[in-house]
Amino acid sequence: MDVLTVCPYCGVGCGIYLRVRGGRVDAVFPSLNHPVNRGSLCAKGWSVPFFLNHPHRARHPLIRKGNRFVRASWDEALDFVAEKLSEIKEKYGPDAIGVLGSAKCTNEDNYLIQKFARATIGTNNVDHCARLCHASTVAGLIKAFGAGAMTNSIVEFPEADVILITGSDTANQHPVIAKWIVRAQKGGTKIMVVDPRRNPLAQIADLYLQHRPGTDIAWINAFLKIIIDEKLYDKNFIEERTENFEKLVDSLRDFSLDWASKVTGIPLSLLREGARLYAKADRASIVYAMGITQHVSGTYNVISLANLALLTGNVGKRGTGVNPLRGQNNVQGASDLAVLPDVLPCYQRVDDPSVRKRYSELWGVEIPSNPGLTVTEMIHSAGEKIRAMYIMGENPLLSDPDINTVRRKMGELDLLVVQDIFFSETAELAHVFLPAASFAEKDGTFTNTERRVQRVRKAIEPPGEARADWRIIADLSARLGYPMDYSHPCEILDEIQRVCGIYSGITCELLEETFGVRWPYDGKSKEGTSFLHGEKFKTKSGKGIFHAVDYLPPPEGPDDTYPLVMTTGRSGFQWHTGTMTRRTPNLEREAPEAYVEINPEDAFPLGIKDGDRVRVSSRRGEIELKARVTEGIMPGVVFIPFHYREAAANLLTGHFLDPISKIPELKVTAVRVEKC
Amino acid sequence: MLKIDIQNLRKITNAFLEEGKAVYAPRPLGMGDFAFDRIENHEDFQIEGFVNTLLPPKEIFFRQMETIGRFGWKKKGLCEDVEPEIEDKVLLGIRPCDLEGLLLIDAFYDRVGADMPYKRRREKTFIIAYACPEPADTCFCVETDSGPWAKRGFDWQLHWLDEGIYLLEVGSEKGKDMADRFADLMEKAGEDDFKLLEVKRKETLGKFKNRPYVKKGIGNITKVGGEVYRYLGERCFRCGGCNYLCPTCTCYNVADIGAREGERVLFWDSCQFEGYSRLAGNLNPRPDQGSRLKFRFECKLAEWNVETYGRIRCTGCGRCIYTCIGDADIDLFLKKASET
Repeated sequence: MDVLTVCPYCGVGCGIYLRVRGGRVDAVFPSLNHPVNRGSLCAKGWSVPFFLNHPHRARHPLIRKGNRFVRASWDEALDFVAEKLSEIKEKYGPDAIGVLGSAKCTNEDNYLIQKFARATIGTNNVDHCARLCHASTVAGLIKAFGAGAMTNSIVEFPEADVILITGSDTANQHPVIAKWIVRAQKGGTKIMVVDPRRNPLAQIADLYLQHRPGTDIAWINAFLKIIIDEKLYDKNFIEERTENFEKLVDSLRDFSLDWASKVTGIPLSLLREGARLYAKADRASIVYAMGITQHVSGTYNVISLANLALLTGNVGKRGTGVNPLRGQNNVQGASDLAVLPDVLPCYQRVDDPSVRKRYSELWGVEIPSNPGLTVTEMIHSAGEKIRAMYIMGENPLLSDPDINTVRRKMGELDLLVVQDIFFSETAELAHVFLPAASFAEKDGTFTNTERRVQRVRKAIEPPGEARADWRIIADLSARLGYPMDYSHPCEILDEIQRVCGIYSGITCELLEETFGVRWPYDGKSKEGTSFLHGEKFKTKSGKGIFHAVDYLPPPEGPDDTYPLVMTTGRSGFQWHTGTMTRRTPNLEREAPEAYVEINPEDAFPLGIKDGDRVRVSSRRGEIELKARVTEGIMPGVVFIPFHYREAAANLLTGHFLDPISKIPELKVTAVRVEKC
Repeated sequence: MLKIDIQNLRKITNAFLEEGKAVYAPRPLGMGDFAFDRIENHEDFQIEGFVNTLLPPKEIFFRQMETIGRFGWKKKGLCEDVEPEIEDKVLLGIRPCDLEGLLLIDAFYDRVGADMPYKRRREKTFIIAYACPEPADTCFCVETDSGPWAKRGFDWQLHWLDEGIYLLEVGSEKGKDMADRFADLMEKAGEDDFKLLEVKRKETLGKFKNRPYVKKGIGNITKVGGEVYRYLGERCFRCGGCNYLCPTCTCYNVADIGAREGERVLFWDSCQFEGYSRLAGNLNPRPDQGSRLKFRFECKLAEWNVETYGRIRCTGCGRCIYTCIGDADIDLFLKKASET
């Protein structure tokens, strides 16, 4: 039997079939007709069965007794959690409890977990790892365009004349999107890459600009300045569809291109070439990812890219737009459904009384009015303001910055509940561990990076006593006096489409007939909306809004003690904290150990040769790993993937947050490299 | 030659199923997708109206991933083999390119003498091939001498005459006995049928995209320069898809999954992975993607294949062309090779 579902790795959302034999998934293959992947998968997608069948999959609830975990029944475990949560809520109030949802779980799981936080517990302390990836995208694009999502669709890339890719190693991290980009280039589209690393797409790009990490606003403003000075902007578009153009022009009046060139490390001639290439294109598309968002200036980086698109009229038509590539398979959905501390489903502000009133009526309880804490804030107030945390499908002990502090803080909690498919690094600190069903063992929906809501189908039974996340939450909620009566995730989706405008009309029945529907669904086109902002922007005035943005240097620049800049990222063969991929033999073989990429100019004076073991230290910690000497990284910068617990890059990163979106600075950390 | 219609083909299929044979055939998955899979009911398969299944039927014999043993340290300790299931199989509707692929995999395992689950599964397989009336853009079996109709390896071959009506060609003794057994469900083909078949075959051949560079490229394989491999190497993003979907790829790896207890798993490997050719001490005789692509293209196309297997080991199915994430597929390679 072959079951159509969605790949659980990245946000591209490839359609895959799981082949079930004897109750196990023993093969996977791509859909030939799925509009996103059309017969392709990346190495990770091809390896899905490995983690599903892994003997380490969690099978039973566990309760900590002293230093040991003891197997418990579901009733024991859930009763224990309910009792503890009630005690803590009574003693310290609901805001002493923090809840993390998961961008790996379904829309239905996530909708329930935020409802659990808000309605059952009574706190807005609910967040998820979007905080660490695209929180700044949501904040930035809402300011500029009124909607925090990829403006255009994946299949439109070949229609662009120019694709500007920045801060995204697309070929490794969103390989199937890279397929569309490479196909586009074959059809005549020009590819421009701006990135500190010469990644595979940079290698084949028509134009490659290498900039220093954290200097994004400087090069983008240089582009804006050049376009304005050379009058390459789209006058009609600016007049008809935008606001605040004058402000932008004023802010750039005294902008020095020489300064920008010096700060970014990009020669002035290349800045000009890049700006002209982008501005002169009839249709130009911007693609970006963590290299733009994971900065203290993340929100402003995103806004700067929006400025660039608005200035040249590259929004609201096919083959254009500002296109954040979402990392996790369902980070778009988890954000849409408000696993965020400041909004209710569909990005409706929780501090707006009319919004609150509506949800209070729908859910039958008073919704708390104060925005809650973010992931990083919750963890850093653990043991103080936050006494208990409930974590569904996340592993902050490897994914969050400054792990030493995270470990210490989380160790101070009165109650830590972790619900996951594997016993993760974070689970080791838990008081209660609950085994969850994987994507292949439950029904639901995922929303991919281009807003495509797709059906996830149950192919096999969960291992042991593991249960679907939505079911665990509903059972726990009932014990806390707020019953959630759903017999199937489709009923939850039905509630979602009733309460959340952009999901309106998207039901399981509709999804049965398609490879997914891109929100918003107008009831006509079966595939939903291809691109946003066609007639009007989603801002209050209906116009796209320019913002004057000033360059903000990274908080921790290089100095004498820590003379290099570390930037973190991922390998194409490991996934995030590795709970799935490190248990997959062919992927683990391909990327078995941590490494640091360093330019020969930096390596030589330190006596470091390719393959040497080196020590990398920052103000917060140190790790030992292998050096990979390469000219693919610019001098003065080193790159470390963050997957490896034995050399966790996040032991080095710091707790510096973007003031608007609270995303941590994961791309610029001052470090020192020495030979071991 | 004989003639059969789809209703009677379903009746025969039903007879196979009733006597406990495992019947594998293309099955519609909805929205235009098809998979070669075991069917439980004679109404479940569809052989015409699409070009081919995405996953080649080799997967039925050579599994993407399968447990070949279990181990554990509890109590007395556990160490046991897991045997593949042995079934009396019928392969219904296999395309000529994929059939040629199976024959090549047979030849490979015969040559290396490996005791593979593949070999045990391949025994007792009755093959009903389906000659393709309609190629896809990516098909080039005409250039690799493996289609659009099969010349060997089948027990029966169905040739499309009209919707639901086929000429049935017998290709083996086994096939003849089987045809005798179901004689009342078939009729003898007449002169008009042969004429119609010729017309249909001509039509089919006319639908193939013209690829004069394929044979020329294959002829030039030893002369292809480093710059071609460098170009393609930069555009290969190491998904492994070309190997996984290839009807002739045979490479696998074996790994023990789990520590105190677990499974020994045999699974498809890809020569496009860096780890595939990595040796102890991190040395790699194929250190860059270009050299890995060179290895793959030569493994499929080089002259030694003809010496060893009697033909090249590409059957022109085209799967590696559309699955390629980058722009490093065999079609582009052959184009570039032909220009060398």
